[in-house]
Amino acid sequence: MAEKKMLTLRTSDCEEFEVEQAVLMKSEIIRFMIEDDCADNVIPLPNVNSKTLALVIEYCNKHVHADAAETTSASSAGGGGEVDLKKWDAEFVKVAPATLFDLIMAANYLDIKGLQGLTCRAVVDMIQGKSPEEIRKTFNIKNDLTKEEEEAIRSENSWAFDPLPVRSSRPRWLLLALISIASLLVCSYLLI
Amino acid sequence: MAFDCNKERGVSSPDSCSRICTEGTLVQANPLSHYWKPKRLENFNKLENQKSSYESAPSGSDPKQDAEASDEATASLCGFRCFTDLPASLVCEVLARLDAKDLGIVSCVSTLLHALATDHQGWKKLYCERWGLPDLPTTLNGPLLPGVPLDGKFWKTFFVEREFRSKSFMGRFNLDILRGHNEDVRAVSLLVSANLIFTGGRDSVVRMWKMEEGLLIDTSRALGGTIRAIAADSRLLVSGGTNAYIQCWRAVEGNGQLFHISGSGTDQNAEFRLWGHEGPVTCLALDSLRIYSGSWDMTVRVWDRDQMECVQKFMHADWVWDLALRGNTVASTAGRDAYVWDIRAGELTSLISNAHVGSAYSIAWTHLPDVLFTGGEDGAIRLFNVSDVCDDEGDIKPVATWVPHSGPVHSLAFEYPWLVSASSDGRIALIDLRKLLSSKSSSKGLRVKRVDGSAIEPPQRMLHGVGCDLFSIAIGADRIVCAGEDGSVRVWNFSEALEIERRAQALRSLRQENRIRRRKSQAEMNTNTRRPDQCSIAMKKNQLKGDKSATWHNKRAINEKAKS
Repeated sequence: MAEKKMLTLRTSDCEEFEVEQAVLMKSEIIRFMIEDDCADNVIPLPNVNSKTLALVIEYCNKHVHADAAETTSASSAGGGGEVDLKKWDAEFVKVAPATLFDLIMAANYLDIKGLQGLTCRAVVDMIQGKSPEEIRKTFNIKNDLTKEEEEAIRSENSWAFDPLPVRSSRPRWLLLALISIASLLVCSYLLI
Repeated sequence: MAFDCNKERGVSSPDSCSRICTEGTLVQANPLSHYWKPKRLENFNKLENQKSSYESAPSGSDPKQDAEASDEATASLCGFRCFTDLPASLVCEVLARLDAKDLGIVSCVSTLLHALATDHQGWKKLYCERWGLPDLPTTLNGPLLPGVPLDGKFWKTFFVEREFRSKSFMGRFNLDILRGHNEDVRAVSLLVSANLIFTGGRDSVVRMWKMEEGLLIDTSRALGGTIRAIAADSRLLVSGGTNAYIQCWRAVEGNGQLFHISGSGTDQNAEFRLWGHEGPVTCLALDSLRIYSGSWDMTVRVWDRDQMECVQKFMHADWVWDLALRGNTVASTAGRDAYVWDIRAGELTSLISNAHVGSAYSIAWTHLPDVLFTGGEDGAIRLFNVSDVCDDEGDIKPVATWVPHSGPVHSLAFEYPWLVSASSDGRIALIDLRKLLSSKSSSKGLRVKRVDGSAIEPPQRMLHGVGCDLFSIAIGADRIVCAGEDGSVRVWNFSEALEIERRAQALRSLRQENRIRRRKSQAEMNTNTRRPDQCSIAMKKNQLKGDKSATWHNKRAINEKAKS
């Protein structure tokens, strides 16, 4: 059996990772380098630290093996493997926001489409349904808007917070008049 | 450097600068590009000095947990400790996946996010996703849509205005009645960009009306038979009926009202007919290249607009009642079934069997791919997702069903978020689909929509008072146009609903302020003068009133005794 070809990656903090070439093919940028025979020596990754790269390799490993298993085994025809992978992905991005941002950056830098989508989607899920204050708290964003600016922006985007309640065509006074007439009738009946 | 070999392939090197990216493709980002300063940000320097205080607990050897542990060396090199520290291109990539409401909220978070979230292209995408390109009046030879909107507004402003206006259908309306047809009106079409309404019916003439003024501006000669379908765009007007041909009018250059349907014009090429159907033409649709027609000869035909000939024919198992067009897909109803056809491939992609009890008379697409409505003889409106095959037999089951009508639903029209239906019970139902068609991220990372079956609500509004069969309906420009058996065309105009509501709200708040002011002044007067209670003084002064009240009580007591 042929020996698996390995590649060495050097991170920004000078740590080296030896990884299977097949796993690194998930990265478009490294794939191009391999195809152009530029990946003989150590590949420097000045924008990725070791901890983030460890996570990236973990993601690529899982997906490469999952793809291989899907093509070989007939049992995955039911789609069970895909469900497991989705669950794994969901767990994988349950990390601190700072780690998530490093992952987004690394996925973009290495051009790993699947990881880009996954991490961006994780951030989207963290944003959805939150108020500006909650978003600031979640992502540790300093509010650099002055009170006047914030009020102006809020009024500009008021439709997103509190949509204008439009009444139906039946005027409210008509309803009130009917209620008052009914109550008068009831009162007069009781008094008599 | 090892990355240089990629330059030929078009792969960015790590030194390339990031830029705002909203069209979906990611740009390789420079690690220092989070110092990019967008224009229009006065106090951006505040953001540069921003430091994150996010701290995570250090942990064992697990790489995921290790990554969360703070490390000074790595933080200095590439520590993105805050969302706004990411390069603008990546922030935009995240924002591009948000829906409009969340995007509006995000823009209130910080200066940078406000600048990025107000970016045109993302909003353009959101706008076009819901309503397509805006209907702007253009000259015949001019561009369909200039690169910049005519009034220079941002796409966000366009979106917000349109979203805001969509609420007007819950407000007050003016009802205009257009009279001119002698017999029942079977077809109406609304051309918003040209401010025109087209109608046709049993009197075999097509009439053209000004939408704003409700004035009849042109009438065709008698075409023979009942006109059952009309469709129009800024270049072509088509009508079809029981005579089995399609009557077409080309737009006339330099003509303010676009079409000379009376045939009095000198240009003979402005009017032509398409022959081919062997039965009455029941439905028509147009796109920029083709004309689509459905008929009781059980076919939907596709005609080339330039060559004026039939290029495709889709066979059905029963009479074709209605068709709806979306991109390169045509949906049609025939008998009690609904069909979805791929025009490019020329084949049937989905079949909805037994969509209704009795015939399925009407069909309409939503703004989403694969999601459509049908209306039927049973008075029901059903929502189908044609990409969902529910059971082993491959049947597509309805996601939602409404039964707002007691008679057959003859016509449906959709403009986000409103579905309107016209029925032979003489009523119009308005259904708001905002909750039902909610957004969700797909596994591929794209923003897609899903249909939430748990969010089904009854029709938000019913328009009554027509008192006759309604055969055709159209929606657009804050108006609902409907026609039926009595020969009149009704236009429900909601364009002033929001203005009326604003005025009413202003009046209410003014009254409230006056009330509060009066109470305050009264309270101040009471505290300043320390006057005794006015009621007790009045009672002492006017003894007669006191006696009256006593008499009243006595009377009541007597009545009670008598009753007992």
